[in-house]
Amino acid sequence: MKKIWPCRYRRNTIFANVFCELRHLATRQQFSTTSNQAVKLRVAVVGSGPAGFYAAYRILEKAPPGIATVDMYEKLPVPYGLARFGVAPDHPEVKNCQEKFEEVAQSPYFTFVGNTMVGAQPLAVPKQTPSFTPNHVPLSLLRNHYDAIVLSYGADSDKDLSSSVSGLNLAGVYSARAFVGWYNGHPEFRDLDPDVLAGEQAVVVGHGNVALDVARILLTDVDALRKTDITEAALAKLSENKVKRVRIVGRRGPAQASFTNKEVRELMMLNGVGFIPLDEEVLSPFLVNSAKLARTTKRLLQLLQKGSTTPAADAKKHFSFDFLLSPASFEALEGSSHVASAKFDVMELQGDILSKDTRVKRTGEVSELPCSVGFMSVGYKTHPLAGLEDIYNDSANRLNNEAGKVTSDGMDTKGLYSAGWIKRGPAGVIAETMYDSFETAAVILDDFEVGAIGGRSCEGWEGVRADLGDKLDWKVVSWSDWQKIDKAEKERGSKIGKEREKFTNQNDMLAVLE
Amino acid sequence: MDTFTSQSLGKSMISRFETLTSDLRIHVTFITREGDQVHIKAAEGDNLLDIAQAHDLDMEGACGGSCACSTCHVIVDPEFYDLIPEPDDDENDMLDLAFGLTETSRLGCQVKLTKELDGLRVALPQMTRNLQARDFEKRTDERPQQ
Repeated sequence: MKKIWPCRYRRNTIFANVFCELRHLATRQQFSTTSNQAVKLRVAVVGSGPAGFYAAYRILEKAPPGIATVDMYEKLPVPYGLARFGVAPDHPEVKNCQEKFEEVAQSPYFTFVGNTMVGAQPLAVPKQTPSFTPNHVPLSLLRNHYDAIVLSYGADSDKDLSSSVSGLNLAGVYSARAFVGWYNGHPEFRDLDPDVLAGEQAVVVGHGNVALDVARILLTDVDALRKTDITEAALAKLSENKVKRVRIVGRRGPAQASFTNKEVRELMMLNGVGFIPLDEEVLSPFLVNSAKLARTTKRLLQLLQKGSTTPAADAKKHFSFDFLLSPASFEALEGSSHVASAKFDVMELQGDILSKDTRVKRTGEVSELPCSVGFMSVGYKTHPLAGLEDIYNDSANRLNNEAGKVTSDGMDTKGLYSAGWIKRGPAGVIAETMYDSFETAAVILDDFEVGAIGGRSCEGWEGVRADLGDKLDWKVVSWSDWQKIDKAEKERGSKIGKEREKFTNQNDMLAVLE
Repeated sequence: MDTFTSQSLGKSMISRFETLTSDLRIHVTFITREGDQVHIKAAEGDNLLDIAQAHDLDMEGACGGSCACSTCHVIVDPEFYDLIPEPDDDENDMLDLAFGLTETSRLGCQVKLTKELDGLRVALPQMTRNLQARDFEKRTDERPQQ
């Protein structure tokens, strides 16, 4: 069966694009006005990050044209989730996935419902910040109007270690997630104002890629960031950055670290930044067992041995990887409420040094590191939307599901599916999330094929909108609205030599549409 | 062009950019996840991701072919693996993350065809443990009557 879309001409020429546009014009509709008779599977996707978009892509690609529609809900006026707010500004090629998402959004069977949050605010997440007020639509309303709902809203908080780590509320201690959100212009973190002027010693707790992103942004020459889409506010602040020494501290050893070699290599190659070489005793078990090492561990070892392009002796800024240290407290000096040091329990590995699953236990020793500014990068926490408490697994940090189909002992979960971090737990790069969404899409189409879902003549967003009536008192952002915001951001950016200058405030985003 | 219709305009523009058929001299066989063998003729310098996508094979290139993801992962027939220039650090870093990595795995976007690779055979690897072969087929609208 011949597909009308997506466009398969990959050559990036004006002519090829025009040809595609002409074909799409034949079928493009701004909002789906496909008659109810034809559409048999109405799907709502909650969250417009990679998980949501790849699920939408796969459903629309694999179902016969016109049979399925996807309405995508996003709490912010702008889409893309972590692909916009998580990926570092100096990693623009990772954001190329947005091109695919734009293609998906062009489908006449796709509708973007932006500035609209599904579900009530989870209690653990602040209700609103000065820069963002959510507009809620109850999940139960969606269940009336859709055959399938894909929950792909990701993780909204940090893993909370405050019961075991004290001093997290001191001035100068931040969540890495908040810091990343701040430099990437997320309205929730607009006012973070991280104190990178306090001193030279930064401590980043955590051995994942987010920790390495934080370290890299602290150490990179700020001029290298000026042309990216990092916010002007972040550039201004980072220009006064006093940090010269970053310690990237993890609870376990090198073989257990979650960060990937690409990001380690990037740090090692940073201009003018020196890596403090690891002690012999840290590396020797790996050298002795080099034949047994898994590919990634072997390559990591090579990176750690080789060290930085700029030798430590010649560098003005330095970083280190510190292993087997578990955070105990952040401490301030007498009479101060600003962090000055960080205390760690010294750990030792219990078992195979080379195995990723090996656990650690305390040795009883304590280590104290100087700390002018601290970042906790120990993982994310997910939450259930209101009404989903029965299917939420707190210890697993995700919804209960089998291959994306939500499961429950008590609750009726017909039509509920999940994708991405809320499905598998908050870890994994875009590629993994993509395959994960494909799996969920396959399960949805399977269920539709056997008649388990679908065929109820649901009305989707039109039905939700009708039910809301007067309660719908906010501006719902359509895809073409987002395109106006996108264009405005790019125009602001080009005036100052940047890819774009993001709006960091919900009101500013919506003001473009007036 | 007889008439300046959008169709004919589009067609002639595309044909200027399509590779001339006579340049398609290198034979590549893709083995799909269902086990089908797809024989393709491509040009020197084409990379495997572009070729696969131009022929509607189920290969994703999330980062658009810029060596920033692992979604174009292919398994190269061992006979041909050494005929391709070795992967550089950037490619190896991405391969680290590829699901089902093998000794002869490469990123499709980084493998450019040369004359030496005529007859090249590559397989599309499993995406995850759970996806079945039939998940890659297009579904028809065959459903039980309501």
